[in-house]
Amino acid sequence: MSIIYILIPIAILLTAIGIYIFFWAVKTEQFDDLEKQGLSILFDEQEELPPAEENDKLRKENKNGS
Amino acid sequence: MTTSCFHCGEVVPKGIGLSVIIDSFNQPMCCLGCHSVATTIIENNLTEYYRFRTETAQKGQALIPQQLKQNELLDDDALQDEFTYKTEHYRETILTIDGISCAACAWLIEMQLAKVSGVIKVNVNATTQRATIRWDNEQIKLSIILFEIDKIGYQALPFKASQLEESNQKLSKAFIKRLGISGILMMQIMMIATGLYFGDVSDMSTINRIYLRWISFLLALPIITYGAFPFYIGAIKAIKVKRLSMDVPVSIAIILAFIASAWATFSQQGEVYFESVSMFTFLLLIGKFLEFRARLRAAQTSANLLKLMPMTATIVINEVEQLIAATKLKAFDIVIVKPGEIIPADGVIISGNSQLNESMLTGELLPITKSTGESVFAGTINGDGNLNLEVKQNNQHSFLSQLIRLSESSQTHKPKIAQLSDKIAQYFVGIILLTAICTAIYWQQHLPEQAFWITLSVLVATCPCALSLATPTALTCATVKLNGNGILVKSSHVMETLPHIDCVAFDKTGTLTTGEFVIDKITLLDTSKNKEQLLAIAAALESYSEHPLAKAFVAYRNFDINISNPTVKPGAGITGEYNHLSYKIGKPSWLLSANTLSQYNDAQCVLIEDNRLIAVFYLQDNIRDDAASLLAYLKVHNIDTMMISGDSQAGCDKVQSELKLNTIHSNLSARDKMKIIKTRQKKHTVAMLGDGVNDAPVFGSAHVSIAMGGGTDIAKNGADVILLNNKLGTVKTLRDVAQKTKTVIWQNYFWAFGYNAIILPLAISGHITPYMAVIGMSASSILVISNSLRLLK
Repeated sequence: MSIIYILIPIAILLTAIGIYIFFWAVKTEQFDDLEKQGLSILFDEQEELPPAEENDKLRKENKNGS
Repeated sequence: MTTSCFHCGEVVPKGIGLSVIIDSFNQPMCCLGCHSVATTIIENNLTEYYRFRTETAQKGQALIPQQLKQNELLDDDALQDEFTYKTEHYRETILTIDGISCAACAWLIEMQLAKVSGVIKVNVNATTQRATIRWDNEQIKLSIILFEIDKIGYQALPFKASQLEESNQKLSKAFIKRLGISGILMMQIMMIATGLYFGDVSDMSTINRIYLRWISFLLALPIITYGAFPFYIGAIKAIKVKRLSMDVPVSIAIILAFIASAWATFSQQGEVYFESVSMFTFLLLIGKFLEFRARLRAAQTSANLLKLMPMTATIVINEVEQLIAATKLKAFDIVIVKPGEIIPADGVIISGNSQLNESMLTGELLPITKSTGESVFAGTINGDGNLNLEVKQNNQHSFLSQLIRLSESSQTHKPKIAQLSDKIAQYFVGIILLTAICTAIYWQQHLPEQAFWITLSVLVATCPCALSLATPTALTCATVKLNGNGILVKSSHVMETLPHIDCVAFDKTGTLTTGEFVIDKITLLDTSKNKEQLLAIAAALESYSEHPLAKAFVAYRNFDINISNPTVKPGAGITGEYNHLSYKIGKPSWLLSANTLSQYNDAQCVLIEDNRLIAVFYLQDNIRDDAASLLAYLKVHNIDTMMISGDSQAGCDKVQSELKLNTIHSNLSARDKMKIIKTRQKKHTVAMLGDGVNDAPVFGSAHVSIAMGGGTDIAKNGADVILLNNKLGTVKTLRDVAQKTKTVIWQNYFWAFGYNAIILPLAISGHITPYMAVIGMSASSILVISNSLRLLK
């Protein structure tokens, strides 16, 4: 049973770290908008997308056509 | 076949021929507004928005240069002081954004603004429909930022955030922290408590037991001192005003149980209740937090309504036109008002004539023709004519601001029905404290060494956990359910007051009716053209007019038919040419000779082709589809109905003939309406439904006030409930849910008291052990919460 004298303090330490991280998350406003964050994974962050250039071309053709 | 617009989902009118290539497909667009918004989105490589959005966007609006000029007024430093935070390097403000329908919108706006140079930081919150923007004022002006948001189809404006809201934001963060700490630590304590329970049945060495108790004590300390803090504050506040709220017994139970358990730990005797106390605090915090969240959400939505768009005025100084903020107008200034613009201040017409739409002040939907010498009021909308006005008085004395002030002052006199939970708390605390004292005295005489522990177990076991969760959980679930149905509940008393309502007052225009004209009947006098062609020609002509009647034709517009040489005659109609034929559309008295006029006197609009009458249109303000069924529903439930309208007797009679309300009152001013409501309240509990500025003061005096979502911001701001989806029929849902909530609350109380009634004799007789207290308390709390959750279905 003497193992609890080591394991419980370790558990408390881990809990303390968990609470610290949780407080940091609240402070940096990560709990303000729960809707948007869920979707953010779907969007790429890169600036230029190659397919968009194709769209550009298509649009130009369309403009000339009409 | 009709196609729907790819951007906003509305029907695409015939012959408009607009499309945008999105992801290599040609997608149809319904109007120039949507077209330009979609093009901007594609050109900025933001196509992903269309891939991930879950709702269609709102209809795009063609950008008006006027709007841009109005936005420029917001660049004024003095005005910006009101809503921006300034440092040397940047300025920061919060904008409310109209049209955010899903999370993809938030992404779209962030991406669009991130590309603009001078914008330092953007953060869009999809839940509150707000954006926090930081920008460098040297590089970019606020008006340009607003214009960039406009380009992708959203309307952003600064607004007046209430001070309350700022403190709410801080409170919200503190709440999440308390909840997190209590939750995480509660789990640890429960784990150790399980060990202690096993120790009770098997033999655990005393040293191990003491060790585990000390650990529990340490872990519970933050929960008691930090987590449960809001309850102490609530209790102290209640005691200060010599009342007992639910926080009082809660605080007593938490503090006493903790101190006793701590003493048991130090002195190594008796029982510890650390797990009960932490579980108790955690469950109650969840209840309190959910309730707070629902209130916060409602407060934010209503704060979004307080937009800070300065009303603009075109002032004439030394014959030069100049755009200024309407608040800067002074008496005797000369102002020009163009067709379709809002009158900036109370004034007298010095030249020109036009029809003015005063429906937001009076409820009268048909515009009133006014000419030189007559008075006009701020906030009303100009029709087809140009007007020159002389401002009568400074704006803070305008009729509109008077109405707003009246509305604000009436809010403070709102009738109240006392809250059930507080009433119950009074009795409950008394009974519990009395029982505890009796128990203590009894055991003191019979078994003095156990007296303290038994008394303590009475207090812990009867902790009003389930009892204090009974109302907040039910109310929160009901609010969430109503939100899903497009009903926003702003005041907390609504759910408790609604089941008592026995009289409902309706405004007419915009509430019982849609507030928009529709074509009711058409008489064709020329067989060479079919109905559709004629309607399309009429619609093409009417597209040049700002008159409310003209809007009825919008749905019939065909973009293949275009009018040449259109001329608008204010107060009469429109003339134009199509296919080398001349057409005139307008009111019968302008276009018809005396003998034909008598035949079509009750028509609102006639169409003339080369001096020949070819069609007669009958238009009317349509009664809402769901008005009749709502009134039938109210009748079944024996609720008195009445109409209080600013409109004429004839207008009210027309609606009355169809809807048959119990009583009608016409020709009322806002003050008259208030008087009627107040007289009614002597005998009845009254709910008021309305939409206009003139309803806002009346809202303050009614027990429950409900505003239509399509109504004016001032009305929505003053109301207790907003029907966001603008459907009258949802009032039924509102009442049904309120009724059901009442039942659920009573069931909750019944169980909470039932539990206490079972546990109390056991505790008094000294048969309660800590683990029984925890199980009983958690089980009854979970039962109450699950019962409340039934409301979500």
